[in-house]
Amino acid sequence: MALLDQYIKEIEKELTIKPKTKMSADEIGEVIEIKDEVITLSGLDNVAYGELIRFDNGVWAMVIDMLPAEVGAIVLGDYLKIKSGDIAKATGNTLSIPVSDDLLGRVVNPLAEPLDKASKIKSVKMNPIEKVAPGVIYRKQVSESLQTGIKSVDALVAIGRGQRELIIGDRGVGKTTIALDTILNQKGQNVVCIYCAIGQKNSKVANTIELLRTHEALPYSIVVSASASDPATMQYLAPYSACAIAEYFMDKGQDVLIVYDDLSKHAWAYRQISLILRRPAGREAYPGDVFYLHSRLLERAARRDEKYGGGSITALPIVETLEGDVSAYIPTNIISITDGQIVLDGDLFNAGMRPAINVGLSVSRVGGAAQAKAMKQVAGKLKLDLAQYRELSAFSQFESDLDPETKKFLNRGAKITQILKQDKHNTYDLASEVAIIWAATKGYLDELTIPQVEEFEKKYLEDLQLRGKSLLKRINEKRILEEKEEQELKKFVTDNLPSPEVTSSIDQHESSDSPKKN
Amino acid sequence: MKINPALKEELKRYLRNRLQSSNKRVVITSPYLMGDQDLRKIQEKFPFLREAKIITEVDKSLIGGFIIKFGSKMIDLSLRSELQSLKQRIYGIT
Repeated sequence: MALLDQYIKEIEKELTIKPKTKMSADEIGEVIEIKDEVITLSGLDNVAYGELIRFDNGVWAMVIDMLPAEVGAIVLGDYLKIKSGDIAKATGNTLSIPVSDDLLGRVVNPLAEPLDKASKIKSVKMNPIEKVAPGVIYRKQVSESLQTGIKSVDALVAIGRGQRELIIGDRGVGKTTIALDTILNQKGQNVVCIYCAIGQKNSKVANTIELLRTHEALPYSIVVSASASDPATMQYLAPYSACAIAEYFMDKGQDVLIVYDDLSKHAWAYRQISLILRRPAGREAYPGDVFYLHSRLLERAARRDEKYGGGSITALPIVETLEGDVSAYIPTNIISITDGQIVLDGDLFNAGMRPAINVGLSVSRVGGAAQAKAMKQVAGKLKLDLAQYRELSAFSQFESDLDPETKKFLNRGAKITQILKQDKHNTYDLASEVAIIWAATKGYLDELTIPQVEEFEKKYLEDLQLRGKSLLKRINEKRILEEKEEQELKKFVTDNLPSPEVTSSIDQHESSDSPKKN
Repeated sequence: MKINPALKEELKRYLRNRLQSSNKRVVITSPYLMGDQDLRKIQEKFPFLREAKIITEVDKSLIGGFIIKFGSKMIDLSLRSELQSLKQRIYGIT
């Protein structure tokens, strides 16, 4: 009933308003060419780059190309409704999307229209899709860590809030898994997560959404999807639109994590549009501004100074390589833009190393400064051990001929490599990560066999969860390992090491351990 | 190819004239052929039309009113566009 009253009121209001003939000179253009989702129009002499134009049937388009006599525009929506000779009117606006807290937990397309058939999204304000990144004055050094919950990432390639860390690797080696695990680990961390799917299979996006839902990660996440079946224009706009949503939350002072999955498909979409617009093709047929395409997007990730409202956008772009070739055009571009990369290796993946992070090639150029102190304490030793292991691993084939010192390095390296393995969607909190890495770098696992290490890790962490809750809590809060914590950790480690009957050398190990291990 | 200078001058002048007139050329479309009186009334309302060269066109689909086009600009005062915006409002497109 109330709804009916509302309708009647609305209609009455419209009837009482005297219709006035509005007279306005509209800027118009006539469609002369339609090529897929790109249209060419004559007229429109006074439009701006990026301006929205509108057809009489309600279809919108955005001007992205201006030639002396004609204008090129990309259609936002159904381009099949447009016929040659149709008239488009300029609107004087640039493309903006409605943003609000309502977006949390939703699946939207690049125009922020819901794809999940749930209620309409109420908008608080309109954010422009293209925006100039915050300048140097507004920025602050990356100084707070973003825990991914993945041991090898947090220890070796730490990511800070406001950083841009590329995830790169062949198809099917777990790039998306790393990004999604990071999203899952942000539960309760007051981080808004945005997953931007560009040119992906709808089935894969559906799986992702299901994964987020089952792990209760959806309430703090937003999925922006332009799938493979959407027009290239939508795929081109998707990351900018996701970033516009991220900026809304950053403007509120919140930390945002944004995953672009993946930017090589974004470059393909832009290449398609550029070729249709007859722009000169460069290397690999990409247009000349493909670098700027990604640099202006990733530059919008920032950590803003508290003086200017605070907040941060952490970007995890994903790039797919072919046969591990990181020196192709798009990968090198994005590697040079980002603050480091996580390189995933197909060979490692097949050798059972999950996550298949190539520790030698992966770097984080700023995250180390943001790493928690406790992690820094154990990770330094870990890095050193791993570097030595890598150097010597070529000799591991002739193990019998090696001197004891080398053997020790090889042994330690193998155990640490085992420790860095982790099941997918099974994230660790900081204390657990620190506890297990501490045990490995202190040499407590040197005498165990690989399967025993695996067993030990499980038992040890279970025990810590059971009996050492207060210890874990203390490490998580203080984020530092002190003498007292180390003593307690040691107790837990020795309690959980396999009994001497199983490993005969354990006594010997124990006696040689305490004074010497550095 | 060598162009006769006299001819070239002549051509230039012709093209310049045509360009100028195309700038001032105004197309008025209406659902029926407009007489001088109608045009004069329109010119009174839109002073900039006085110096312009007016071309009239007939388009029955406008139903009523008229459209003035000059350059890439358009002043749409036709019944058709009114009906169209009404339709859009009803369907909630806008």
